[in-house]
Amino acid sequence: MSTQSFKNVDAKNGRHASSPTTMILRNVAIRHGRSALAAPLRRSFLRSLTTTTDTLTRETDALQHSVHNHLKETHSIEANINQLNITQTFVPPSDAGEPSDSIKSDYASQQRLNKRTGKLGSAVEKGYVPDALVRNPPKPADVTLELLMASQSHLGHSTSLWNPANQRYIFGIRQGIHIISLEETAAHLRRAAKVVEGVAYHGGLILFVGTRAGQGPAIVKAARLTKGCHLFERWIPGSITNGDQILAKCDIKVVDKDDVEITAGFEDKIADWKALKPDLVVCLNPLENYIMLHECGLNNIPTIGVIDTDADPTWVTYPIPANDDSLRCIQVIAGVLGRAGQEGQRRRLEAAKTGEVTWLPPPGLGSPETSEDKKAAANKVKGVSPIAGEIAPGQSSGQHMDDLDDEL
Amino acid sequence: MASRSISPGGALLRASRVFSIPPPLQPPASDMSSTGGFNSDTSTLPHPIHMSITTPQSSLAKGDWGLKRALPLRSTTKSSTPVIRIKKMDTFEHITEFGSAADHTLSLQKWLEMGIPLTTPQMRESTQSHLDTPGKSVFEDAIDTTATAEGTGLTEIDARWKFNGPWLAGQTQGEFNAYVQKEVRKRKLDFHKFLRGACSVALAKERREQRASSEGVDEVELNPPAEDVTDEQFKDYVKSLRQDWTELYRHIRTFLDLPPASSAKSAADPISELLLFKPLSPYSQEQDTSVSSSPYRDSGPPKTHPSAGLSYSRTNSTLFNHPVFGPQSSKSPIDARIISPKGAANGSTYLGVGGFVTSTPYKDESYRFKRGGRTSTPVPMVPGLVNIEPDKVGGSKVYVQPKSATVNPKGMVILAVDSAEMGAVDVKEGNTDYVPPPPPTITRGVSPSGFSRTLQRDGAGARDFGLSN
Repeated sequence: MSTQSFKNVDAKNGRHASSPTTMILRNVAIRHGRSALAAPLRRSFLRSLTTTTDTLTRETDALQHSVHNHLKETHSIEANINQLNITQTFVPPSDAGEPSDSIKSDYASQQRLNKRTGKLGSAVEKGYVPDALVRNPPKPADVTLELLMASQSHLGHSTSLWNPANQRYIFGIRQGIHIISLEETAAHLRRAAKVVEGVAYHGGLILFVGTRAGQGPAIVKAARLTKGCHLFERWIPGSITNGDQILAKCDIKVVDKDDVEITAGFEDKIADWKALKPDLVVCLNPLENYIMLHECGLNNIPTIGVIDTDADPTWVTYPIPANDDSLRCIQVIAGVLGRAGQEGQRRRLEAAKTGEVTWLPPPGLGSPETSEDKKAAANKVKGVSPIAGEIAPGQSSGQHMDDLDDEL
Repeated sequence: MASRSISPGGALLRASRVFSIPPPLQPPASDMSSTGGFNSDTSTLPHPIHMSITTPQSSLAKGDWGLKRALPLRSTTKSSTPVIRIKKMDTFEHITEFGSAADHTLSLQKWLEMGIPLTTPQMRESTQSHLDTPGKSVFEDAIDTTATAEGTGLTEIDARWKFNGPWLAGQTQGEFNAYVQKEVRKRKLDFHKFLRGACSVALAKERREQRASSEGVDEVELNPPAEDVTDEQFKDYVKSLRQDWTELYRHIRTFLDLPPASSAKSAADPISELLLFKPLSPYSQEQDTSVSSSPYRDSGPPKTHPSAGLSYSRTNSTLFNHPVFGPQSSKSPIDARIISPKGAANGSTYLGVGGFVTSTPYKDESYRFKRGGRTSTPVPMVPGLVNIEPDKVGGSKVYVQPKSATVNPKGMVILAVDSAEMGAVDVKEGNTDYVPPPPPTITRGVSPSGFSRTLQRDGAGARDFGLSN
């Protein structure tokens, strides 16, 4: 079968194909085998434009030869099938002619072009990414006056909203609002970062609170860095003062000095352990969270707060005078504190590797119960004289409690 | 006192963008007329009084405008022109007051597209022909100055556009009284000192004239310092000034740095000038006719730079280079909206050109209602100029060619337009292949600029839908 005849048959059947299509589909696979079931050959328009036709015909020839050989092999079957009336006039629908491996060559030529011209032209610098402060927050060492100014930390409230207790943080009045001194903000932010780092180093539990719209991502990121907790919805009043009721269903876990959870030995004690309280609270909008700050005050929990010119700095232990309305400013402050906590945690775990435990277990937790202890306790209940059990001073006596995020 | 040292944060704040937002200007006063204006709180002001602020697209999506707080997304992101003006950075209600500044921003953009350079205001020397005189660019070196070197002539001093004193001709009586009582009265002693200096100069001049007759004056006496002027001499000098008003006015002007006043010679109406002109004193009759060369003497000095930042081009002599047809004799015409036909408001017709209101071209016959009896040619009126065309979608429009523009001391843009050339309109609309039907019988007196394209559009029937622009 020559190329010419093949094409003629193809064209002829293109015209006739409308008659019994549904009937003959069953036979198609038998008669034409692989060539019928294979995906139609893709025609590259780019290639048909750019290359001469002789390569195409050569490729077509080669393919048809292989089809021809294949037909020869299946000739015996075909002879039988050709007895059927329907199959005699049928030729499979296929994309006519010019199969090619243009994709491969196109890809190669594109690679060649890239290699040759890739280094030409100007280098496009990275543009401004709005949430870069959340993704990669600045460290306390990165805090500069420029960064604070760029994040609008200096813009206070209208002068008619002023709380005079903030006078020492205020630089002046401009455009009807108080301007917070950048130096004051930077100094107080660094001090707060030190506090967070210290609390994290000594194994404290840090709670980040920011309940305004849009503060969530920054809060969560900071809490994740410090391995603490976050709150971006409403503070349930009494979560500290009445935590045993409100947080009753929350989980508590015991960890060793390397933050590995101790699963066995504390089940009974944990079951009736009272709700945890944070060791440091970072509040990014103190005005809306007065109740929480008050509860912290009742429980001697230190607090860090972003104090705008209309807020009362005495509500928090460590004020950071800054603009609490700008999301960028909140992201910078939360990010810096988060990075500080991250550094504290890193130092704590590093010290734990050398055997130094930087924190004390909560009083009353004691050592993990072993099976002997339980037996002894059971015997004691029964009235049997207790077996003198020796509790070795366990190396893993340290424990660290970590709230889960959904607790609050 | 030495300059106060600034803290690093203070220096940063001073250079910040928020601090560089200028305080808003006073809103332009409404007309002092009893006819009742068309004032509205929400209308576009004749000139912007707030700075326009915009933000990158990525920050806009977050509401971050670099202000006290993020602006609400609902009202800022839906606009296709996200440009705002800040009215208050923070208020008692904890909100940032802002509004859209798209009106003036887009007007400026349209103005720049039209490319009209700004010229000095027209003088009042002649009655009607001034409308034809080519304007002088406000950027000419001779008049674009605010300060002059010591000892420059009166002409150069007059040619400035900025003066310390007010323009007395534009003041009301109350304003003038307030100025005299609050500003001038305080400076009486300074003026005496100034006059002593002037007296010494006058004396020196007198002596120089004496020397011309008799050679007996030494150098020291030629230039006596102001302290050497005796009280007697000073009193005599003041007496002489009381007689010589022109000289006194010259001193007062120099002392208070007053802008030049429009001279009586250049009154608008020569007839009234003839009727009212009476010589006041034999002294002043001659010198009072000296006319200042300042282009702002009739309109008053401008509040800002006379270009008002609208355009920085010096000339209108530029060619429009069409991509297909090449350089064109006239620029691309502007589609103007007929905002006030003859039948509407108070009888005068107005066009809106790129957001600026202007009157109709005065030269073109097709805009003129009163035809001269002699040349009563059947030049058709611009459709929509006589009456409102309610069936026209988008309103009546007509092509015009901006000619010149100036900014008056009130901050309003005074734009002058011509009617567009027919060929330019064809090029603009892409109708160069279209052969117009023979024009209606035009005999004589038709302005050479011809009539605009709208005539042919009338004949085109179906295409006349106001949407073809």
